[in-house]
Amino acid sequence: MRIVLCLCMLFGSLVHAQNKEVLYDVTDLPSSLLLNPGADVKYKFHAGVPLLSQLHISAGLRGASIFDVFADDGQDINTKISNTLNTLTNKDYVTLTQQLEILHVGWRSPRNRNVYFSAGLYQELDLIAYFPKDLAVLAYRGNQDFIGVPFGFSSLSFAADLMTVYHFGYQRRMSKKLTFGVRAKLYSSMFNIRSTKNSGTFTTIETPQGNNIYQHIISNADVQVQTSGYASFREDEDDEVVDPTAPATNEESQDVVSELIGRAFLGGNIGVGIDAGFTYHLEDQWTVTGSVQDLGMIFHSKDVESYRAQGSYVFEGLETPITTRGGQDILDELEAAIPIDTLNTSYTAFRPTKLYGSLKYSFNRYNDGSCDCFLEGEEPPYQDAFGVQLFSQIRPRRPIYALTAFYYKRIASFLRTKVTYTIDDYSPYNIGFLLSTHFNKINFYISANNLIEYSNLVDAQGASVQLGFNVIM
Amino acid sequence: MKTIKNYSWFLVVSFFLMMVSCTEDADFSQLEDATLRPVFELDFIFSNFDTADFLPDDLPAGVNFEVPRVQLQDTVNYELIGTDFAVDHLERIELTIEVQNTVERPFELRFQFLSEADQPLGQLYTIQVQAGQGPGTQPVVSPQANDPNHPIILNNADFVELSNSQKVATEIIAPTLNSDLRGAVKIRSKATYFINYDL
Repeated sequence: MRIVLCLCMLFGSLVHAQNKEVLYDVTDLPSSLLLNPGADVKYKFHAGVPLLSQLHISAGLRGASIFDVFADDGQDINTKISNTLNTLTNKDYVTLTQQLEILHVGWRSPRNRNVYFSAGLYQELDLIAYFPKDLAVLAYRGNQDFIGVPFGFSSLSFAADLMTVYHFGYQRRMSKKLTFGVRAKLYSSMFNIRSTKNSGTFTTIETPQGNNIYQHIISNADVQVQTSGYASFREDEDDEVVDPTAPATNEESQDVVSELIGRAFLGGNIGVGIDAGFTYHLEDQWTVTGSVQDLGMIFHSKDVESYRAQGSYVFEGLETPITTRGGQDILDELEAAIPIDTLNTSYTAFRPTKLYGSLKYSFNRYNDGSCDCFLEGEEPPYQDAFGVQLFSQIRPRRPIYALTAFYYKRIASFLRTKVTYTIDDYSPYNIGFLLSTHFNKINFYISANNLIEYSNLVDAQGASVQLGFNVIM
Repeated sequence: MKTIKNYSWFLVVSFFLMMVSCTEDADFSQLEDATLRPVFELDFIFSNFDTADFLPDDLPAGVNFEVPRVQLQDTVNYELIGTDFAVDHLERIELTIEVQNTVERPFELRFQFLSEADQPLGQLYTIQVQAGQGPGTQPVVSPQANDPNHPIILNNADFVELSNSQKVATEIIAPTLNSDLRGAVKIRSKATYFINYDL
């Protein structure tokens, strides 16, 4: 229960999408290729330091913050929980995204200098859970103050994916103006759980002329939870645990890790997808980019177990005396009216597709040798740029949008920065910052957003950090 | 070597910046004081006793008759009280009974909680039902609004006593009826559960 409450509190404080607005179109970094396979990169070769080339963590919550509940302000916590519950809606949600780049390399084709290949492997955890307002209110307040008010099961909506992604990208400079790229992806799912299409209501109504004071009506309930990669672990646990209070042994933990690693290396449920993107130079200084990411799906057919409850039921109390003895069993009646079926049917889960677009104006090109702001042999780049970016991600209920204004500055040949200002679901003043260093072909970058909230993370509604090492030539 | 120095400096600065992020004035120990206190209203027992349903066939007018007790008794499964949750997290239950009577006779409604083996637990609860005024009249409602014993309140001491409760037995005690009597006794009731769940 405590965990449930903590998750509820998290709803009030953290929510973010997979938007990497600070990294997008920073072509100094190979990671920009993963956001737009048509990013106009200039290098001949890149290799990410294995396991260190990109670590991305973002978490967010729309509607409130942890601080709203846990602020040390002398107010009763129950009052603060109640206020937070009033603030949050069914549209609020919590997201948690983590990506770890395991391998990422790229090379320019020796046969065609206009073609750049890249390939790699990364692990991703993605979770989104909408705040189940109706069910939370029912659990927190009960139904006494909500007679006649329907509680919708549709407020329950969540999805979580743990997977590895194998990818291969192809980019071609079609002309001086246009660069186009595509990336094929193979998903290897380790674990998936989702419950996104629930419906039906629970309502308590007064019945002055009825058999009893109320009727408690479950109407057209259809609640489904789909899982893959869960049933086998549960069965193993059922088989092995004689004493449920005994801690898991090392051997059992190793078995779980071995199984997950096996699934990570294409032993799990497989999916396919593509990324596509372009960079188009309208004029010398104006650039338009666009990309679509994770347009694909995962076919869950192995280790699938789903649970579905469907039906309607009206409860109006225990009828007595009835002329035959034997006892009315409400739970039996309920189970008969709304049976919970365990299914092993395959299902397909679409990936949360992301869209990016940007318009950039570049200026300040020092090509007269007056500054030490580009590497020897490199075409003199523009030192400054500003523009706008759009981001959208398809989520179970509705797409998420974000609008970003940015300023890019190449301070020196070894130091580049980008500052972003983003308006999204979570914050109207999300400021991000990127610092990227380039010493002797070794690149290190770190970026973070929501810097204004950085001094008090519990009051932040979202936070995102990316960092990594690369070799770039 | 220069590269290593540069990156050492950069990492130190980066980690310093990360360390300065902090959580101000938050006290997570407040969670110890958090409680869930929902109030749930749920129907309890109901019954419709119509004298016509119990009138023996071919009974002449104006003849008295008794309804066999067994026909007015019932036992239903009711497991909500006999749980650890009730003992640990239920503050109280208020049982609100509403009996509407149009039969010109007083009745008595009794109920008692039972164990799985039908052993009576706790006290026997009795509701006196006042006589009605005949069919077609406004039903007489019992208990009256100012009845000090109503609603029936079960508190934590009762839940401990009823911890093995699995059923509830009900009985309508009917007086001697007459074949001329008509009317109905309608029993409606609800239980209000006051939960106090420390997180």
